[in-house]
Amino acid sequence: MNKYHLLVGFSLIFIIVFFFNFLALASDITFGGQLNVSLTGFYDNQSGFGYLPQANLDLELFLPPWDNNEIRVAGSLYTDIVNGQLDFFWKRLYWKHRFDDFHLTIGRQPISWSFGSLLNPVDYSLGAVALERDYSTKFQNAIEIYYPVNWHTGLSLVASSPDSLENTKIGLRGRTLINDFDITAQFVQEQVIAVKPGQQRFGITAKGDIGKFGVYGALGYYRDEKKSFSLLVGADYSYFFPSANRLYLQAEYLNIPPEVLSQITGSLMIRQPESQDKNVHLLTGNISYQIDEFSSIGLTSLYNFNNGSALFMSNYTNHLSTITTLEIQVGIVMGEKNEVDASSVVSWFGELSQVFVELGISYAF
Amino acid sequence: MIARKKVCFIVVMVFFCLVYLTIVGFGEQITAEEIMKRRDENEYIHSAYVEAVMIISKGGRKVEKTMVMYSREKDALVEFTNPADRGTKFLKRGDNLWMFFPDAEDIVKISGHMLEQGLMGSDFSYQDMMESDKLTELYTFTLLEEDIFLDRPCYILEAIALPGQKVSYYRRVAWIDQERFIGLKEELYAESGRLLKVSEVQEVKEIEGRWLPVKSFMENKLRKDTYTQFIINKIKLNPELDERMFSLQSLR
Repeated sequence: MNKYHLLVGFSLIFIIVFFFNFLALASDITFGGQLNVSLTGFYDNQSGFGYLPQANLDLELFLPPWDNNEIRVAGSLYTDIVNGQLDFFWKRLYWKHRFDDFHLTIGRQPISWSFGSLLNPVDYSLGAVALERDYSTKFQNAIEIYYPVNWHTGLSLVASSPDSLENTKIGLRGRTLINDFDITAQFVQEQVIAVKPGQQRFGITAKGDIGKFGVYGALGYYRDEKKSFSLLVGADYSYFFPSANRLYLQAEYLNIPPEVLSQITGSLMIRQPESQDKNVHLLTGNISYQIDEFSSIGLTSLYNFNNGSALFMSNYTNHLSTITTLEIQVGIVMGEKNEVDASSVVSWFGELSQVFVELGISYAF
Repeated sequence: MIARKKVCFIVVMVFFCLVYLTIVGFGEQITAEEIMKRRDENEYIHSAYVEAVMIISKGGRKVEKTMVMYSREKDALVEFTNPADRGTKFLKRGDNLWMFFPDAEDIVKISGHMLEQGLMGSDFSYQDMMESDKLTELYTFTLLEEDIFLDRPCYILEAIALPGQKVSYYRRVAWIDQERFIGLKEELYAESGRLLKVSEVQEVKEIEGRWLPVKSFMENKLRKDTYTQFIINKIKLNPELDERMFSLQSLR
């Protein structure tokens, strides 16, 4: 059974079971979404200069909830960057029922265990592209049971099959608040029903405040063919200039097995086969400056201490109107560290391997 | 005979003078604390359901954000409904703030320093918007003078933060309507004495027996030509709110 059969199955169930409710609620149904259009120019060491126009249309049908039931229907029409053809994927196609004691969600849904870090080594799906720029891997065909214990404490049990039943995985996450620190503990078992089960992950995260600083951290334990650990510590802070403009600073250090990092960032920070026995030391930072009520600039950077590779990504955002936003991004990826040229940035961050400039406009409706 | 008339005249005059002084004296006797107590009785909202629009302006540019808000004392749940921010939610419980990101359906605890920042880019901080405090519990007051503001007779009061209290603004100067006991204007100062913001009420309405501001604006005095207008389109006081309303599960 492939994902398309599953989607068609879910669609039919929804239509049959809730057909009459739809009729009654039809007058309250609304429609909305966002159109994003962008043009990316890039330079790559191997392929040279190029440009890539892209567009995607997110559409959602807003159905009013009834009797503790909620249906979410949302999809994305986009241009496939590989073949340039139009493609479509369901972001949401789920039914949620809030029972007295627990919530049940069935269907295609986002499963995300973010806790405020730039990189999350203990997320449910590690495949998300660096810095949360791509949410597509978070949307999965899944069943989730959420059991709230009190206002700040709850348990989530998730079973999902990203592409085939053989790849079904399960996750369990508990969340609570201790001394104003948001604490989570989670477990993920990949490929539960395969002949040889995949990786197991255990994770603990914490987020809170120490004085004027926001602080957070995570510990991960990965059990596969070998056992490995990850550690993340980070902090954020806001500084106000006399003109009331705000500077937001966030920095984190991540010590992570290379095979886990490659699942998070793809090949972005793994420029050559890393030693499989050696954890990668990564420093990540984010600075954003609010120019005024409508515009801001920011710089996000990643630096791999092991091989000297680095990523710098700056962005400028301007809300042109209530529904239109302009965004400009410039990204630079630096490759292997160049030991020869000691007089330039290259000596610190390596050889320039890729540059991209993206100009995008989004229109919400 | 003339002497008796004089005495009677004097007695009558003294009587009227006493009556006048009693009336005037009574009016003057109202203290700053009493004024603020009556202002709190009128404006302090225990719980409410609000539908509102926030218009952020700078120069000629404007951005509108619509929202629904449930509040109960120090707790609040806000959900944005305008297309660009649709589904974004904030939950404030005491001094803790959580944000729900609708795309990934993530719930993330926001660092405490963010509470002092503008809500969704506006001139209202998260605390300005999501907190209903009794000012009498946070400040000590002095009656400065009386004035006419927006054609209404007002008391002008100065409020200084009580030692040890966590407040957004160290000093406030407030114009309180003498009849309706509603704040019509407020200047908000930092401890350094610098004027940070000025809020002014543009429209008040009597709702369920209380005078409440339904249209107001907040001007950031540290920036040029920028202000945020807050318009309440619908308000229901003391609605029945489920205990689970102010919980992480309500964000999901």
